[in-house]
Amino acid sequence: MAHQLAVESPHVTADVIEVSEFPEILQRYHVRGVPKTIINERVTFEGALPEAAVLARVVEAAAAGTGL
Amino acid sequence: MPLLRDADRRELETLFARQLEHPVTLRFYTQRESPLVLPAQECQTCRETGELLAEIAALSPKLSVERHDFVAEAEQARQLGVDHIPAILFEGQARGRLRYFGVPAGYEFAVLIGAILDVSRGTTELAPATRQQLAALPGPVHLKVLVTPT
Repeated sequence: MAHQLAVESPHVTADVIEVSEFPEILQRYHVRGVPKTIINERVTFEGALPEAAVLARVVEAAAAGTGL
Repeated sequence: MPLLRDADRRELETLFARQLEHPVTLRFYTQRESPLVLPAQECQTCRETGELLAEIAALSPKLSVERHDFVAEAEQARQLGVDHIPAILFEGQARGRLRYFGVPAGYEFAVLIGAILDVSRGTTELAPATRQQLAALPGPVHLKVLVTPT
């Protein structure tokens, strides 16, 4: 779904990262289960969420970055 | 030996013929292949990813792979946010930026094909309410989705 958000919005950058190849990323984000999503280095969640729930977190992360 | 099985190749060829609209460039950051690379510096999955992308791109005239050397083009890679290889940037009709880091194996192969199709069409099946919220985003959003191939 992250990629789809990036297709639709110029504000979005979406990376899918296959972490078994990058142990430093595994360590950095304390990954215990996948998928794990990190948004703007501040909002995180594990597993797959419904679309509306993902959007809520995307909006939360975007708003936090602007100090709103 | 090809990575894609014949049946998969035919299925993908049909899928691409039916669903690809605009051209897609797979900008691929990798390691220059050389016998001089030290084992400790070798990108283990770069070769396999490069071969996979070449096989996929051969299945449609609308797909192309653009290889880039992560070391020789370090500044451009840095500007594009490429800090690990292999890295695939999907360039087409997307309004934002789509990237994939690592080899797209197993279930992640579907992520690769899905990204190609969506970027080619420039549209997705996201709900209208989602699109409205995206249009009103107050600032940039960088999502990182960490996955494993199993």
